[in-house]
Amino acid sequence: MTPTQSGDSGHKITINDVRHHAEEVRDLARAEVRRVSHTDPARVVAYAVVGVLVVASVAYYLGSRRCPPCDAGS
Amino acid sequence: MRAPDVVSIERVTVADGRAKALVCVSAGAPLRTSAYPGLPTAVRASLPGVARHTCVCGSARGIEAELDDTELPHLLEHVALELMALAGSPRSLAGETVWDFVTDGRGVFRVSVAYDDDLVALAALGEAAAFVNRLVAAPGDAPDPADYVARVAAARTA
Repeated sequence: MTPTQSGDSGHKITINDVRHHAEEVRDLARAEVRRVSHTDPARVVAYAVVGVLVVASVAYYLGSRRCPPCDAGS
Repeated sequence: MRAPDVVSIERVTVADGRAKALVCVSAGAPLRTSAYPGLPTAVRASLPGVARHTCVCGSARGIEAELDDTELPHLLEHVALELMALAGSPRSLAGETVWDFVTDGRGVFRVSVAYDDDLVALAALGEAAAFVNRLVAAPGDAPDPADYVARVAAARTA
């Protein structure tokens, strides 16, 4: 191992420390990716379902059918 | 014994070149034509001219698919327009069906048709309601549309 000096504090950081921190960061990133990739589609689907229900409710209670003149002559 | 009417016209006003009817679907009755087996088919068979109609907000598959699954008063509107056309009114007349169940209550629709003769339009709305009710009660026993057309035509002022 190659100890390195961290400024004037005298605390030594080893390559192993750096590697350990890097692995922690990597694990955190992976966990976050997993969390986002698992929850967001579910949320999107839930929001979509709610949106469709709202639109369907509005369409039931409020609506119009406009019928322009027939396209054929009388 | 005659079946109770599913659609009824509560009030008709004439203004701005349109006959405007307040059409109610009886409480508890299904609102859509798809809930009445044979009804859309019977309408198309009796009044084939409805296939020439157009509808802006309806099914992208065309008027026939729209009438297969639409609101009963919307079907009534098209029947009224067709009766008017068969009674001599131009096919350039437009119709509209709107509803706001929050304000008017469930099953209340506002149907309006343009007209060349207001009395013809009034007669057509009434005859269309009778025609639809007859088909709802007995879709397999379609009435002769000529009788309805004759009564609408008779309303035409000279």
